[in-house]
Amino acid sequence: MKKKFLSAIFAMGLAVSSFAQDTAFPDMAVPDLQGNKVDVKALSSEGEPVVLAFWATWCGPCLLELNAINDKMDDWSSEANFKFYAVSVDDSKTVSRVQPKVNGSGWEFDILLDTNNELKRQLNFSTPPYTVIVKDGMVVYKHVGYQPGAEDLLFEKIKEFSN
Amino acid sequence: MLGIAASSLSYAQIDVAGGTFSGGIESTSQWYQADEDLGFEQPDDPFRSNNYIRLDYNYGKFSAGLQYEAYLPSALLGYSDRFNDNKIATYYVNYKGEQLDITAGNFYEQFGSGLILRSWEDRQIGINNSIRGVKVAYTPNDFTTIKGLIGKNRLGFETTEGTVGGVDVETNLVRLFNKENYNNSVTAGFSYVGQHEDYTGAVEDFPQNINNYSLRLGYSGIAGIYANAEYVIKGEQPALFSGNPTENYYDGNALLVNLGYSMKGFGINATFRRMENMAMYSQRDLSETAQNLYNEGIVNYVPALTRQHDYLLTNMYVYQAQPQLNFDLQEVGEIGGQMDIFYNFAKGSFLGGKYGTKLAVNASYWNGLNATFNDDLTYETNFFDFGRKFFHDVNVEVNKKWTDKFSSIITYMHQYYDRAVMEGITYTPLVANVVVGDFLYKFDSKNSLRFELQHLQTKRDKKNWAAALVEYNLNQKWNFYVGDNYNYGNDDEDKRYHYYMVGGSYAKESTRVALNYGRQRGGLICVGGVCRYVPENTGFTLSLVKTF
Repeated sequence: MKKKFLSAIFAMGLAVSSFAQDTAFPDMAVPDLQGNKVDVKALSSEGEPVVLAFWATWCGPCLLELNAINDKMDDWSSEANFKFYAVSVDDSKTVSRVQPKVNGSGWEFDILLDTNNELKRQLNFSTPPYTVIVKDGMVVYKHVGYQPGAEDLLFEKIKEFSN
Repeated sequence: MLGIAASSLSYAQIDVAGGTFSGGIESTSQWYQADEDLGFEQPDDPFRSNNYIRLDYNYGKFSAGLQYEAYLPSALLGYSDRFNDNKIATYYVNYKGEQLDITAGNFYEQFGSGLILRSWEDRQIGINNSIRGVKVAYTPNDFTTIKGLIGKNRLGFETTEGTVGGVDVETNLVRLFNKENYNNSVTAGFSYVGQHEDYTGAVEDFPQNINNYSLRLGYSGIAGIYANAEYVIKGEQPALFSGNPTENYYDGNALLVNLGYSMKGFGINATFRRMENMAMYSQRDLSETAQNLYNEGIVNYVPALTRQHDYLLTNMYVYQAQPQLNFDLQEVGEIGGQMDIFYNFAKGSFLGGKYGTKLAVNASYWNGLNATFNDDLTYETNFFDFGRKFFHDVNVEVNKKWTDKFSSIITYMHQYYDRAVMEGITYTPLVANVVVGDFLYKFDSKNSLRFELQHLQTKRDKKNWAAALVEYNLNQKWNFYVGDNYNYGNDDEDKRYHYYMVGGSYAKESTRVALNYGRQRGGLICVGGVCRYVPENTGFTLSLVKTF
C-alpha cells in the first residue's frame, strides 16, 4: 500500500517535471568575496545571460571543471557576451579555503559565497557540480555533474543564449 | 498540494495562476546483502529507501513550498529511527519585499560562522534541524541586515521540546560612514540566541532559560589581506548524567580567528579556534551521547576544522570536533588551528611546465584543553593552554597538467589520530601515512579515463591498506567505475578483506541515475564536518536525483 503511494508520488513528480520548461530564478542576493551582495536575477535581465557554476573546495570534479573553464575563459569572453560566477557552496567548515584557493589556482572569474546553502536549496540540486544559465530572470539551462569536456557543451549553450 | 500538481499537467510550462513551480526529487535506495566474511547479516527490511520530494511555488513577491519525505519501508542503515514515516516534513510561506523578508514555517538560518546558531539540511548524514516558526529579516540598506527569529528545531517529523529565539545585527562600518567606499570593508556583527525548555522535574530553581551571545568583527580589502574574529559566550546550565542534572552549572565559550592573504597565483589562510563546552541542543535529553547518536536537535554548527578529503583511504581516520564536556576523559573542549597555502606555478615557468602546476599545502592540529577537574566536578582551565593531543593532518597536493590530454594529482598525507577520544576505544594513538595518485587521460572531448592508486601505511588498528579505482566517462552522459580497498596488511590473515565496488551512472541535464554494488567500509561518514557512524554493509545502492 505504501509502495503504491510512493510510486504515485514519483509518477506525479516525474510527470510534472517532464513538462518542466523554464522556472523562475529565486529572488535572493548572494555575497561575493568582499561581502557585496549580487542580485543575479536582476543582473540576468540586463541583456546578457548569467552563468552560475556551483562548486566546493572539497569537490574534485568541480575543481576539474573550473580549471578547464579558466583555461578557456579568454576565448569564450571574446566570442560571446555573458557574465560568469563560480558559486561556492562551502559552509563554515571549509569556506576559509575559498579565497586562497581561488587566487592560488590562478582563477580569473568572480566568486559568490552560498555559505548556508540557501541558493542551493532554492535551486533544488543535490550536490555540486551543478551549472545553470539564467536569462531574463528565468533558469534556461541546467546541468548536473561534470565530465572532462563538458565545458565545451556549456559554451555551446552560452552562445545559444547570448546571441 | 498534490491536487495543484495534478492540475498543472495540462500546462506546457509549469505555470499556475501566473506563478511558477520548481522542485527536485532525490531518492537513495539500498538493498542489503548478507556478507559472511564481514559478518554482516541482512537487516529486517533488507530493502530500504530515503526519498525526498521538494516543491516550491513562486508568485511575485510570495513563495511557498514543502518537502515530502518518505522512508520506505524504513530509513537506510545509519539514520535515526525517528525517520519512520512518510509525510510532509517541512513547509513554508515567504514574502520578500524591498527591505522586509518574512518567513513562516520551516526555515534555515546561520548567524556569523554558525558557532552560536545554524539550521541546515544534509541528507547524506541525516541532519535537518530547520527551525519551524517565524523569521523576519530587515535590510534598511545594502550593507546592513537585522534578523529576528523564533521557533523550534525539527526532530524527526516533529519538533523539539525546547524553543529557540534569536536576533542578529550585522553592518559594514566602512560604508556606514562612507557610502561609496567599496574598496575596504569592516563588518561588525552581534547575535543573541535564547533557549527555553520547560522543566517538570524535582530539582528546585532549575534554569529553564539559557542566554547565549556572540560578537564578530571582520576586515577585508582590495590589497588582498583579510581577517575576522568571532567570540561566543554560551549561557550556563547543568550537565546531564542519565537524565539527572549535576549540581554545578557549566557555561561555555568559543573564539574563532581567521587571517589570510591572497594575490593572483598565491593564497594563504590560517585559522585558530578554541571551544569550551560548546555543544548546544534544543532539547535537554539530547545532550547525552547515549540519547543522541544521530546529531539531532542541535542548535549550532561546530565542524571539525580540517581538510575535507575526497579519496577512499584519506577518509579512513577522520577528525570529529570535540566541543563537549566529557567527564570520563576529563576533556572540556578543544583548541587548535588549520593553515592552507595555495600556489600556482604559472605556465612557462620552470616548475610550471607548459601547462602550469598547482601546489596546495594544508595542516591542521587539534588538542584538548588542559582542564583540571576537582572532586566536586568543577574544573579549571587557562585560555591558551594546549592539553592532550587529539589529531594532526599535514598534507601536500601537486596538480599538474602534463599534456593536452593527460594530468595528474599526487597527494601525500601524514596523520596523527587519537582513537580513544574519537571512538571511545582504549587504544594507543596511531600515525598514518597516505599516498594517492589520481590520473586523468582525455581521449577526446567526450571520453576520458580516470585512474587512482592509493596506499595507507600505519602500524596500528588494521595496519596497511591499498586501494585502486578506474573510472570511464562516455559520451558526456555515462560513467562506469570499478574499485577496491584492500586491507592487505592486517595481522589476521583471515581479515584481509577486499572492499570492492562497481557501478555506473547516467546523467542528462538535471537528471542523474546511479547504481552501485559493493562493500561499504564501516565507520565515520563525515560530510561538511559533521559525522555519523555507518555500519559496515554490503549490497546494491540506487540513487536518483532530478531538478525541475
